[in-house]
Amino acid sequence: MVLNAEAVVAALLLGTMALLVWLLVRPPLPHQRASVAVSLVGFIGLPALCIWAGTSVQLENSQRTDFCLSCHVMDDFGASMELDDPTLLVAPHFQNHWVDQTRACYECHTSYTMYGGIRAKWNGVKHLWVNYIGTVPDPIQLYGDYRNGDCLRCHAQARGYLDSGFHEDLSAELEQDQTSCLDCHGPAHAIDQLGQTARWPHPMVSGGSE
Amino acid sequence: MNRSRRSAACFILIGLMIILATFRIATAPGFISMLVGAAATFGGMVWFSVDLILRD
Repeated sequence: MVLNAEAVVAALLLGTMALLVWLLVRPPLPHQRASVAVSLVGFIGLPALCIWAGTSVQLENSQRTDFCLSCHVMDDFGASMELDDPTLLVAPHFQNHWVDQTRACYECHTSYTMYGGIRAKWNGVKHLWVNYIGTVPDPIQLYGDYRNGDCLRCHAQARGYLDSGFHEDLSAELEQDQTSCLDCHGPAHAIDQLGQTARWPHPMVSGGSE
Repeated sequence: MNRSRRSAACFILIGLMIILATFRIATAPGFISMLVGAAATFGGMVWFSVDLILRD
């Protein structure tokens, strides 16, 4: 039997809550030391474990495509992944499973360096702040230039990339971000084609989830 | 258990309930609720610890 991580976390939360309720209504224990030990486990140890486990599950959820698209300001960017045009950049990546469809935004917008994941989470918290408290810029822009490393981590040793002599000539510039992949392969999301190009609806974008 | 510790325990309990209610909601509001629940739980834990250290 394979245990689902979310079910385990839910069981941990329910068990901890049941223990807390029991600790609140139980008669006093005869020994002071035993009482303190049980209190430390019930009121400090297990809740700390619950915070860690619950937060971990939610952080995993925050990598999902439908999480990113749950803010309406991202609607156009989600829709651009459904554009039915194989010459575009983002849409074929999403539609052909070149990236994991369930976490498509995270796959391309997280730098896979030592602190890439932490930076992505921090930027995500800033996004939440701007979305609910601040003013969302129009049009939405990245915090900085898109890093070639986020393309090259998949493409660098791929045959299609290596067979192109053009990439070989530019390899040093590409690795040092002096020339952007998007200079030739952009625009990334092709928002301006929305309404002009047919769509290939996908449940992860157009509603529902996989 | 004194009233202060009961209050701290209730904070922890409410925080855990919020975490449980929202930890599978993959949306931005779900994420914020999770942070609120975690903050309430953590606050209750600190309150309980301080009370335990000061009184025992």
